[in-house]
Amino acid sequence: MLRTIAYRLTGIPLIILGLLTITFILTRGIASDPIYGILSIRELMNEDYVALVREKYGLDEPLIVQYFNYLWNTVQGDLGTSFRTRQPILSDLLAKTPATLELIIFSLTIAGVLGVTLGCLAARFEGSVLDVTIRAVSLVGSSVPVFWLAIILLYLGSVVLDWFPGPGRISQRIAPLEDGTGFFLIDALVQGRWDAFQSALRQIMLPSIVLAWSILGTITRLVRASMLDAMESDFITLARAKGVGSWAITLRHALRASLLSTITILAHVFGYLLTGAVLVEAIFAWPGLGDYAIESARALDYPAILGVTLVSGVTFILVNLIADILYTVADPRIRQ
Amino acid sequence: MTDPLLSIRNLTVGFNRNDRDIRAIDDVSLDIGSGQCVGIIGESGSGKSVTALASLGLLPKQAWFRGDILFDGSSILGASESQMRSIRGRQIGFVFQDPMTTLHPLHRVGDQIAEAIRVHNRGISKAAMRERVISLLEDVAVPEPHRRIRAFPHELSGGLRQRICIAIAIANRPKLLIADEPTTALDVTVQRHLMETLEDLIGRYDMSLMLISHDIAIVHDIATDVHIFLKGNVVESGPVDRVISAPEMPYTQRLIAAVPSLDPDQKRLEGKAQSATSDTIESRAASVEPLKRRSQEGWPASAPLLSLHRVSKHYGNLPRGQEDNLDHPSFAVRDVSFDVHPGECHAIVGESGCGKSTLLKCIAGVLPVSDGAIRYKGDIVGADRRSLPPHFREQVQMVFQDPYSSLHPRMRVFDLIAEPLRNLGYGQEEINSRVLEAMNYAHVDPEARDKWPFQFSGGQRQRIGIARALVTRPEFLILDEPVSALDVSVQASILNQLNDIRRLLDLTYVFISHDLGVVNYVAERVSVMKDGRIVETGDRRDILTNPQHPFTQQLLEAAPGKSFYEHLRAGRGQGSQEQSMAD
Amino acid sequence: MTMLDLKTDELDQPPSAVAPNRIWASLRSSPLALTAIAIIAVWTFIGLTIDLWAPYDPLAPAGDRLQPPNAQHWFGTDTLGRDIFTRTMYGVRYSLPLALIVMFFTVLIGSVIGMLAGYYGGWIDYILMRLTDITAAFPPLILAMCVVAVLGPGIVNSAIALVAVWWPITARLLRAEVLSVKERDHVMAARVNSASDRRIMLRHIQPLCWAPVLVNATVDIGIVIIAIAGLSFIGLGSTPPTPEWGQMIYEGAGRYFNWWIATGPGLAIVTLALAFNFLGDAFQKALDPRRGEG
Repeated sequence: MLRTIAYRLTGIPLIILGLLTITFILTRGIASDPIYGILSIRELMNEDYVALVREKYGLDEPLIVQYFNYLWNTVQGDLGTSFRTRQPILSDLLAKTPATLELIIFSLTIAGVLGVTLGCLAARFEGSVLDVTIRAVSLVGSSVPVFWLAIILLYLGSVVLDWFPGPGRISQRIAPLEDGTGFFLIDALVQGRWDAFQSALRQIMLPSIVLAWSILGTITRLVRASMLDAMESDFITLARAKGVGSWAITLRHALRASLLSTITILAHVFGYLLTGAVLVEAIFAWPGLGDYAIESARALDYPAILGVTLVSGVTFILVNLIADILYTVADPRIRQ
Repeated sequence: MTDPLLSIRNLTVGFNRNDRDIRAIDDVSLDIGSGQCVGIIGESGSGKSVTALASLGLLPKQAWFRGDILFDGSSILGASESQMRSIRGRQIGFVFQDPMTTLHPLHRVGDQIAEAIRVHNRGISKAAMRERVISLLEDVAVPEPHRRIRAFPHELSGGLRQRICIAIAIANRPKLLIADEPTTALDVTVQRHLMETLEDLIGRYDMSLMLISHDIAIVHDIATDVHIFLKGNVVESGPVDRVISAPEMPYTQRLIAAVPSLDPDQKRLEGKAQSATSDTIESRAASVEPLKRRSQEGWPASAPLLSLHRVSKHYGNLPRGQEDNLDHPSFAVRDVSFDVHPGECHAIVGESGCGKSTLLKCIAGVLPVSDGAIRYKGDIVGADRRSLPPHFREQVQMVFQDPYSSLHPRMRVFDLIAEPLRNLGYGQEEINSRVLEAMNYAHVDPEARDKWPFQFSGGQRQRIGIARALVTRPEFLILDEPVSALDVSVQASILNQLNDIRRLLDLTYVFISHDLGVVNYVAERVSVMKDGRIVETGDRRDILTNPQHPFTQQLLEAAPGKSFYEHLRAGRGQGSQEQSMAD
Repeated sequence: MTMLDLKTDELDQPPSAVAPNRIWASLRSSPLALTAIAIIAVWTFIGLTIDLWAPYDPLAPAGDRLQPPNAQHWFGTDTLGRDIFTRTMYGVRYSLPLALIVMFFTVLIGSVIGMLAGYYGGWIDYILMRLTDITAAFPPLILAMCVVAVLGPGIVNSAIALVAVWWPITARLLRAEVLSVKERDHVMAARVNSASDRRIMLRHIQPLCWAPVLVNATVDIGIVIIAIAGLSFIGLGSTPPTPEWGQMIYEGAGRYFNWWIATGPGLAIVTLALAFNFLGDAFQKALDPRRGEG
């Protein structure tokens, strides 16, 4: 088992090197001269000053040297400076990440529990009205643009029904939390701030329902398909021949077999959630990576966008790695 | 007379698929008494498995049925799901065909056996359960049961997995055991021991057995009564000895006559309705004129047409220093040498995984050898894909095992057969006449030229495959288990046809098979292969009557149906006596 | 079903081997597929003829600002007083053709890469698949965002960016199919009969591989329509005042209490994406009768 995991780990640096190469090509190879991003038009008029700045940023070196400088800087955590905020990108990103992760994990939990349950039910009662309904709803679910759903639900949930608060991560009316992990729900609990916890919980509900809905259909359909595959296997017939009851067959035999692919499915939709977060955070005034990405994109602050891309790429790789490891632990055929 | 244990009464089962109604079985009746061993014999599609699943009430949802099945006097098909659950596993045990897929891959085998017990005995203690599981493993002769109880299925061989399946089936000492082709997926040597275990358990625990098989020989060894299934009907029933030695129905007679035996003086087999056509192969061939008799021109009969000298093949890279270590597991073929002379049929016999398929790809020139040399007419083959002897691709052709995957499903019959000529750059006129010629030799109806492969049965598809091989007018055919995927009656007619073609066209064969009976029927020379090595090569008769190597002896010993063949010979002798008396 | 010896030959062949007329027959008998085709046909018709019957100018104010839906303005008016219904109808001219073009190039590039990797194996496979892994290591829309940011915003650049990030799905699907079809004996037979690599790939392997690619590409057209809108929503796709759906939804994002601004274009996206989802589902069912909608 350890060897399998070690093997997976060795692939990671290679992929990250690939990521960096792609981002480097995007910035230096295709984009216009980065100097235009660094200096204002007035400053660009002064040629001596331009040359000085070029030297300072290493932009006078041959591309290959720039490439290794870029790799070296990135590995050290230097992702450059944002044109927009004039802050080091890494510190910007670190400040924004907890908000996004909190949202994503919350959504993934909701969607995972619901999706696996619905997928199992649909497979268990294949062909019934329940199955058809679940499948239809899941198809509709993946056809709705998440950023539109966010607007509509925000209107319905906070204006029409008044069940949820408006945009924001925590109510402005309560005293702010002290600095902590950046995960408001956790910080509130640690600091014993029950009012803050309630407020943060109420605030996170609507955006995470939106995100959960956006992946629920995919999870349901994939779980249903893998359950049906499992239910067609010979070992299910054997279980029936043993006299095992049908719910026990669904749970102990079919679900057990398809849990493996469920792990992969959940890792796969994590990528959708990252994308979804980028699209909906702005609508919910959620100060996370997505919001940051959109603000940077609109300002054409591409060092910052590259930073977001790199961080989401690395996060996605790590999630897939965790899924791989879980898979290895769960499957005795690979575990050996 | 006491009531039978299981009684199938006028059972009809049908399936509704794509608005067509397919009858799987039609008005079948049969009884199994207490302690009785009943065999059900039929070819694929005869409805024998449906009968077995129906007896457990496990028909798929789409199935409809008429008639009834009584078990111990009460109806099975009319029983509720919860009544059925108390019968399945407790009163009736079931052994499925493929042990590779029937066990749950993620549960330990001990737990899977324990589940079968627990379903019918709630509240059994952990220690008591462990004891029962271990004693079950001992019953089915699994070695080291204390260790194996914690194994996962993938850690066990096919034979051991099937033993686990049997342990599950007998876990609650059912009155009836249904075994559906329990040994078909296994090698002969494993098959034999498994059947012995099964027979022993039946006797010890006084169970009845319904044994379903396509193999008359296996059924004969163990059953007392047989029912012969044909297309969903029972065509003949009776005590096994009577049915084998004096079959009454023409289908049964044909079925028995089609089985190739280990008798070195084997006569021509009776193929499926082939007597009319196969005898006319010469006349058919004559009708396609002007046919040049293709002999190995310019190649003396005394020199080997194909010779293998110390051929080895491994996959992947070998660790440093292990390049010459033939015992390294990445070797599939190890130091193989043999000669094939013009006009002869050289068989290679071995069990699954012995390396015969790899060897064959090397001979066909699609896989380079790692070491040694393969020579065709003295020229090296298979050093790499591009350097082949002149005209090798025309002169050497191949027939494949699986008649389904060996034909491109989206090409019409004519194009399938013409494909080799197209690649070789022949003109359209030449292609037309050659394809027609090949279709004639291979008994493919010329009317079929515009049909799709899925419109044909397995045997017909195999004939299309043979036609494709003959279309280049080859001298040498490589046959990779050409009949192992076919029903026995079809098998016989294809074998006859291959023999005829070889005689008529002076071809040379390399014939790969796992079945000694088949080999006995077609080959002059036999090589026995095990773990990548040829352990013995010799004339067919010597190998069969006087095997030298222990593995060959084991293979011969394990071949099913010893008593069947003796019976058969006695029966045939009797039959011919009667015949002569009638004359 | 494997237990029963009922397997008919038709079920034995790979899904891709299903004849086109049979696929069509299956689509015709599925109400969902017919609905899907009808929706796509209606949108295509709207896109082709909108100039002839548009009630208002899509770019000019047509009345008071921020009117909720009413008899004159079915979908209401936006912050500049433009008619949202007219703008929504014009929007299909951007989304649909662009999504089809993106999918065409995606499938083309992905298929070539998947086929070469699967067929040749070895180091070619290694290099191509690592490239695929690296591209697929980013969440697609985020990488696309990055590419557009670098290329410069615009609707053509956003299409290029989507192709650049979408191909790995096709490549992986096709490679997996090639790996399984490659093992069939008929490919071995073609090799024994000295067919060239090109011929084996195009004639013997490719026709048996496209089923999952087709199903996936159909569904993905819907997803690409959403992605194009997403890029515009972010501000990287079309530029104002283009009546593009994502752009229009963005205009409504900050004013969620004026819910109708985003509703028209949102519903337009949902209908089209849903149609392609249904169609993909119907293809799945037609190609593999044991799967898909029961």
